Amino acid sequence: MAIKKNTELKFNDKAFTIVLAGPPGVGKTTLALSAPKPLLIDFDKGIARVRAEHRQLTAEEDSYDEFLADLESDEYKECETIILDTGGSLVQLMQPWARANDQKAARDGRAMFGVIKSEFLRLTAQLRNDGKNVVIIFHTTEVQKGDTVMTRLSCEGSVKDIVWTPADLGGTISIRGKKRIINFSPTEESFGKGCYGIRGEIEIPELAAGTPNKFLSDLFDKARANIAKEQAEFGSMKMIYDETLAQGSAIIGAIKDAESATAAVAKLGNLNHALTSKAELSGKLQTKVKELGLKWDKTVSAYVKA
Amino acid sequence: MSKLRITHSLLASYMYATDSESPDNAYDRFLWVLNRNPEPDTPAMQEGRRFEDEVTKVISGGESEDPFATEFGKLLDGATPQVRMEKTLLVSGLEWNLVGVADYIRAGTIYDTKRVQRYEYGKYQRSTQHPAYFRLCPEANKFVYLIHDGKYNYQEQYLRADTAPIEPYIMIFYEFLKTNKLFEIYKEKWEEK
Repeated sequence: MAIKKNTELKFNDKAFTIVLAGPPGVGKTTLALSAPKPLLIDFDKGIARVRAEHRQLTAEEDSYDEFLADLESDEYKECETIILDTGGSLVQLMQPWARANDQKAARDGRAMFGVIKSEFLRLTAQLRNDGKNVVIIFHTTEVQKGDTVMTRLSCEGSVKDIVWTPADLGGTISIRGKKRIINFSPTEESFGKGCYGIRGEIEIPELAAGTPNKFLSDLFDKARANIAKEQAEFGSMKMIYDETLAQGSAIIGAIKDAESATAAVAKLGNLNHALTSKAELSGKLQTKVKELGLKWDKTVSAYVKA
Repeated sequence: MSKLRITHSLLASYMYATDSESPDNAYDRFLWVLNRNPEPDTPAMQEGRRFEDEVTKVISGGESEDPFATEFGKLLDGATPQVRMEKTLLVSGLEWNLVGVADYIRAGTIYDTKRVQRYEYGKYQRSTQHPAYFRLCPEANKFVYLIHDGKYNYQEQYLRADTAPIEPYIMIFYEFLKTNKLFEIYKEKWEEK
């Protein structure tokens, strides 16, 4: 049975999807390779730029079909993380594939990007369903918006817009002085996506010779620990929330007239509220009194006929 | 003076009017909103309402022929729709009554559906909606925009911890009204009776 109670959910082996963005030369690929047991799909042919000691299993793809074939390999099956380097180059590689596989895409550029968008969603869903961590690297470009210079993912078509939705985490890497920073929170200048207690700016440690490259592995461990902690805290709150919502819904369901509506206000206020139960029950009460044609009269602090 | 009513829509209209990249008529549209003139019911707005109604239908246990509304409706299973909220804020020495209606709330998360013609990620990054709604609902820690552009569904989420408070937006808005001699109009139209 796939359905589990809140308290039965386990996250020990949760895999993550993460977007890593930043300008060229900031160390995105090396950072991506710090994820557990990675397989680098090197669409950019940039593995040579990674220091030899940090290089890992790498597939240099010349076509999208070749990449799909590699997803059947033992190396893919055994890896824990798949790195798409870069998302922008993947989209470029998908273009001849889309034109060859879809008649409309062969004739119409917009249709081609539609096919790519669908295929990108299918591909990333497949990788997640296979239980892999997915790291998608993007170069960034700068766009002037009013007085602000904003950082955007560098990628043709609209993959750059859909990639954030299924991602658990997303960070933009920048260099400040001699420090490399990754920011998981959205700012005026760049996007970010935080979750599971991972948010804000985190300094990426300097990788001296011989230092193990494990920033993302540690980050994923921390996220899993945070999920477990949050689950324990949220689980108890959720139980109270569910109970309170049920009690409150029963109180609201019993409202028949102005008098019982007024009495319900006090009863709802006395419930043991958790999470957003108070606001939600207030919303349900508003709907109910509207149905009954009642309105709140401030002068007598009671519901009356509208 | 009584409380001054303020909504995220009014703040959004002001911010759009003062954005250098907005079209020339943005300021006129802001004045239209400031004067509480009725908004024209455009086909885009009708489509937005239709989409939201379809989502709500699915949440209520019904079926929708719109697969995108169905996807969001299933995601929102158990959520409470149309929650009206208000809160009194003291900003710049004045009492403001911040008012808003959340499309959906469930277990600590506020959801808002957006039916748009064109979407790019980050569209709502500068929106005043999530700062305003986090203020209205202090128990909520996450705000999720559920966006549909006619072809795809998207999500943009914002956490309370990453979100600036709404008060500075109101402060700047108030200064703008005073500087441009619009405060009396605002007071006349938005002061609560």
